[in-house]
Amino acid sequence: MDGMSHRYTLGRSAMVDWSDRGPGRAPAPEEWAAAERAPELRGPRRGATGGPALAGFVSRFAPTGHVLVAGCLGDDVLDAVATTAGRMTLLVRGTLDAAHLEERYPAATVLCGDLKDLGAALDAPADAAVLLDGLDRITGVESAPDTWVERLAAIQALLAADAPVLLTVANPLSPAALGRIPSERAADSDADWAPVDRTAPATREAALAALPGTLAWSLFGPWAQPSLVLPHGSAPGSGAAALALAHSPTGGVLDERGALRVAADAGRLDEHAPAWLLAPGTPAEVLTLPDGALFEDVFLDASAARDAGAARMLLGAAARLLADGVPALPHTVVVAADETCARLPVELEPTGDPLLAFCAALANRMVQLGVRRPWPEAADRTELARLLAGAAGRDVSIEEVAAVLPPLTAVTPDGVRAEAERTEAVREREHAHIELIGILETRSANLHDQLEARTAALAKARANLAKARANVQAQREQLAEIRGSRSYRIAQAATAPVRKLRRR
Amino acid sequence: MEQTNHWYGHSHLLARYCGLDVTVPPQIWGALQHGWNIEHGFGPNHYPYAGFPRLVWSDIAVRRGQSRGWRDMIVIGAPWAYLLTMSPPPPSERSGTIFYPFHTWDRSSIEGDHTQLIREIRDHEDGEVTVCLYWMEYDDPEIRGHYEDAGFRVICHGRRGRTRNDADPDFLVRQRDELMRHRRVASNRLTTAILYGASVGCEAGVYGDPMRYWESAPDADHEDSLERGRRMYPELYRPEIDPAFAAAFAREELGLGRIAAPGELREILGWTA
Repeated sequence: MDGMSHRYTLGRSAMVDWSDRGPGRAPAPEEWAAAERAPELRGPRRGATGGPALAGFVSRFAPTGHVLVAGCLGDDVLDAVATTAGRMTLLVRGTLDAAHLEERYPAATVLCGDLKDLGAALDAPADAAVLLDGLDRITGVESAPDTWVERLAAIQALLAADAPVLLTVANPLSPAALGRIPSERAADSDADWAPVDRTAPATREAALAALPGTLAWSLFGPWAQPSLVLPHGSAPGSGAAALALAHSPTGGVLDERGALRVAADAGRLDEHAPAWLLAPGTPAEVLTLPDGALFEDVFLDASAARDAGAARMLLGAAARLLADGVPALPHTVVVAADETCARLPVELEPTGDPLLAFCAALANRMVQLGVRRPWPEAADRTELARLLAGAAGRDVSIEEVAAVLPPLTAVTPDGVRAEAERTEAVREREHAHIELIGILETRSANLHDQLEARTAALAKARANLAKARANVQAQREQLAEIRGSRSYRIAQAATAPVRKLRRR
Repeated sequence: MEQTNHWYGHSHLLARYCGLDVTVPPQIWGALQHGWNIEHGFGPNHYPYAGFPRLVWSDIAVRRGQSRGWRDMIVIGAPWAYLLTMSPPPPSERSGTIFYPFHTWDRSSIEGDHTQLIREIRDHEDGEVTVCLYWMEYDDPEIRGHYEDAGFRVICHGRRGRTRNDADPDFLVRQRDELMRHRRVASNRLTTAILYGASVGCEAGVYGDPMRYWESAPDADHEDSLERGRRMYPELYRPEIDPAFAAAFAREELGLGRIAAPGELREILGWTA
């Protein structure tokens, strides 16, 4: 690497042949591939932090002057910075990422290494800092692990007085983070190259205190690709709170969306957001959103109450909304106080029949959470989805439903338990059916045996009867033969006077 | 397992530390780092097979390995670190310089001007000079002759060994004793010997023609490592290295604070019944 041609500055801690945004470590030479750890064991990639939501926020913030960007950010975010910045200094730790940045942003100063390298390379204080990747991927190989507090202080030392800072702080007490704790303890993937650090802020207040003069926006959605940036203060029942839930994934140990719903109802959504974005105060974007509760939650509440009537009413309202053919899913629809449904502004992939997809997603969610009420008879997701579609007024085949069922990848512990119970119940029912069939089969076999025995006895009796009849006939014939004989007639003639005297 | 585990008597030394039979040390379950480099503890072309522990000297070697996608590395400290805990020699008067010309090995060659290197040694060293040659160069009358003709004391710590049977259990002992007799240690590349010397109180220096290393194995570009090392640690590529920096660097890289207790080491190395 050192011998290769590049313009970026290589620091002591640069990670050679490494990419945080891409495949991690570059493949080993073919000759040694067998000695390398199997690629599938390298674990999932975190990738670059970015996405339209963060890029949009940066565009609204519009950093100017000499902007320092540290960490692994996506091109969309960096493009937004480049649009308004007079000059960019980019710090990444992997040489593969540095090479990418050098090619894409030829006017930028690209540094590859860690903060200690950066300090020596900056020729002038920066006018702003964009740290939306957080502070855990600006550490390198050669430096001993440092703390979040030390890293933030090191960056601030490189900034002009009052230079604005955009900083993402992960919330370690969010449902998403709490659910990750067991796996993080055992983390050993390439993506886990980060210091173990307990000095990062653990609450929203602590984050704000670490960077005075800023406001905290709440980030929702996947960890490294938040899809929603919300200002502070989403009231319970507001469209903003519903939108935050709509952008929250399901499943996991704690079922993130379900846990956030509880926080939203308590007016504590911001405190439990997956991450916060600290930035100087800027006018908040005004969102026009329909108020109401998430359809999914209202429906699940009705299910929990075994209120089949309410559930059917809700499915009917959803069917009316979806009659226009525009896709929507149970977590992107709100139910207003007048029980009408309205869509939240969430982009969805085309799904074919919207109502069928809606019912399939709802069935998926019910099975995921282990909700069996009010239709415990449904054996699986497919049957449940067909049942929901029927309740919504659409009669469909199992095959049609199976074609739109989303993969059930994220299952909660309760969902696993309920699914196991459902499976056990089905198994027991099947077992009972089998037992009953066995009893009936035994009984039938007994009856069959009895019938055969009686048939055989009857045949024997008939044979005996025929034999008896044959005997009688033979005796009759024998008697007739005797009566026709000469001796019988002589005897008869001889005894005739005697018989005549007796009759007198 | 790895033949390199026995090089320089490493497995013998660790067996001695663990209280086992040092004449025939058990096979080590894993691959033991046998020298220092700026890579991950193993050479640019040394890929111990996945699935076996990679026994490295330092935390920083683990981080370097992790950045290469490696796993299953265990920090146990260098065998040298264990030697320093066992029967240290009495302190002696230090004098002169011990110089280690960069060496080759069985599957490589080195091209360079020894006469030029001798001139550079004379330019930098003002006292007695001991030149310690690797066994391969020591056995080469031409190379050895260069240094003997220059009036240097020429020594060899012993043979590296190829297998458990021909390993030299006292290689590191002789090296320790020689280093502790000298005031300075120097070389024309930043090598393990510089770190060993710095760890026992020698002043250190790296200067002179590094010579050209040739090896036919794939991915074995030691010259790239040399360039990287110079860029990353320019403080170490000078005739007079700051003693505090050298000592701290050696302590970190040799894992002097990372040695395992005998019971732990026996478990790590697979030396339990």
